Amino acid sequence: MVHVICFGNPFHGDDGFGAHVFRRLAEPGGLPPGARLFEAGTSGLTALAFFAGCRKAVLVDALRGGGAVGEVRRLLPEEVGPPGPEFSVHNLGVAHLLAALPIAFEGRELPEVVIVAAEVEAIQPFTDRLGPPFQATLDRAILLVRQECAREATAENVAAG
Amino acid sequence: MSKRTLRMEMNRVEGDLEIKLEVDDNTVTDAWCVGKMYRGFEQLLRGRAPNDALVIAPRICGICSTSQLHAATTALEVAYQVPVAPNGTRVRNLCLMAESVLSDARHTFLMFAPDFCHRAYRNNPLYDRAVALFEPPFRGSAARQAVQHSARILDIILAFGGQWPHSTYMLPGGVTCPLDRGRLQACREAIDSYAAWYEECVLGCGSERWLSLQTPDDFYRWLEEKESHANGALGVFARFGRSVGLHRTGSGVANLLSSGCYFDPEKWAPPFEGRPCLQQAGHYNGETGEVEPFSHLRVTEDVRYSWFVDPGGGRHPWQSDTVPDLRSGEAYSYTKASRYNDQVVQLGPLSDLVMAQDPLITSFFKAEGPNTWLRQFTRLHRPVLALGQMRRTVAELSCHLDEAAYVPSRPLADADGCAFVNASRGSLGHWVQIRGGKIANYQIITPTTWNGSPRDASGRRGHWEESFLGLEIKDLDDPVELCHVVRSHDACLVCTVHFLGLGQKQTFRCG
Repeated sequence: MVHVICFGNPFHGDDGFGAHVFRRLAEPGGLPPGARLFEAGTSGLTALAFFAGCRKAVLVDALRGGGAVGEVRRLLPEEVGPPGPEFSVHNLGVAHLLAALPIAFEGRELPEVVIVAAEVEAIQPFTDRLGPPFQATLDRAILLVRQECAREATAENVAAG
Repeated sequence: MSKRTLRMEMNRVEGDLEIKLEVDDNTVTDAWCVGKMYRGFEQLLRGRAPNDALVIAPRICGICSTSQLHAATTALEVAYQVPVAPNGTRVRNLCLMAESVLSDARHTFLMFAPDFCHRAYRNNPLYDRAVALFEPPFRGSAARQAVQHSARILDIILAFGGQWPHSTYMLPGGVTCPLDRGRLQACREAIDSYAAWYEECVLGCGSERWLSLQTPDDFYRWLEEKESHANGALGVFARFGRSVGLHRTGSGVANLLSSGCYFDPEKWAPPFEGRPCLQQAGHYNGETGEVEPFSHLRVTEDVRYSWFVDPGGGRHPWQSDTVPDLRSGEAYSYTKASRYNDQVVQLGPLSDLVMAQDPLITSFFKAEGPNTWLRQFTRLHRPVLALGQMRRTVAELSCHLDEAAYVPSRPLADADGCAFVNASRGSLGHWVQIRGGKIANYQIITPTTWNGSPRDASGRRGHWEESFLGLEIKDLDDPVELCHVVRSHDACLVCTVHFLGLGQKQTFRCG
């Protein structure tokens, strides 16, 4: 089982990239069999629950990583920077979530985690629309998510003999 | 004398909140608390069907969404004057307590205590122990355990609400979820598991022993009584905090306000007069030392220094509005200046427990006044009370299992309602006016609105602004003392944007 967990605030422009991916994948036929879809919004540690019951988790989020704006990248958790200091439990983000994941799963098998992320630059608040570079890359992100689901399905088939 | 202005961005992306300080020779001489984000939930709710508030209001906050749901529901049932099933009130209380217990652990061990691992304290005798317990991110044992156990206590809200945050399982008249033995057993297990961790690792003693402490002297004797007391997470927090003088900083205003905590299930009924709460409501007047009864009619909002259209003077929320007006001049915040009985007040766990006459917290308050240390210490004490009350609530639900948790009722087309409920960060108020079956006016005052308010028409600073005055900051480029004061208020920053970074670090912007 793959859990596709989409992050982002849909009312903050390009930060809502993950939310837009969620909407597309939620359409009929959007997600392959053997996968479940979760909209994590702006959750931090609350999203820990979405990792339970799967062998693999595909996170979809916006990224500020120094690449070209609109570029979609496949990342592993170790490529994401360590969480910085925060001032409020209201503001614990995905980096904190990834750091907390092994702790929350202590004594249990940790799912494989892959991140599909789109490079953003400035966040424009109070709009539910993506900037032009992202309209074009939604398809790319969705393709990557489906590829990750297909890889897991293949691995499960091999394991089942 | 060297004068400098220090600006502290309070979150990493847009800066929802900024503290601007004027510092003379390393001492804070003036402060401005700048709420930088207009949210507009009040405007969003206008013209909608009243029950829409039950879906929209929990979205105000991803940490206190149970409180927001509870307040929205209560405002409607007060407006409609409908009976509430006692079991509905019990389930609401239970979920609210779970949210409070979760919030206190995460705030203390993931936000406040990690500052004790700051390099400025490396020569403190308790430094190594603090690092072992609180080192960020999630490296200290208390921090790791807080992640694990706070997630488990959520099982209580999940049992009734199905999801957290942003759940909608309360309606005027009670709660919509079924009650059964299985759910109550899940609650008991979550409470027992959490309490066992809290007693062993946080307190270092049983809850009964902890609750026997009535005075500061009792507490100091307890600290020396056993190694498990002194070196547990609470003992280290308390000793470290006092060793760096946190009990002498961040007092803020002397007036406390609490609308009371958790409605009494047998007494919360129409006409909803007074405050029938399990923990008493009240307003502590810092000038007279008297405690006065709480009434929402004494609440006013002033927007002279706020980026809202100013009708002039302080207005009760039913006469108030929240129309943005990003004007230049003296306004500097998207937060209103909320006042009680024309006084600047502070809200939060400390105010709640002093008004409830909790012996230990009240005696510390009388001895030392409000301060950074005591605000946080209260967050370590409060879960012990909450866990006991949660057990009693589950036991009551078991005794009343055959009774309904919801009383169906009819809405009114024209009605006014006000709700005050307790949130983790203090009292939360919702006001609703319904006309022709639609919401005509909706006003919300969160605890952070009170505490983080800007100046009012009389020029009086808000509580946070007052709490920074006189604070000595050794290193203006790395103001750890300021962090302690800020965090002790547990600012309810809005959940805005969360995106990933590759190895980027947050820095304080000082100018």
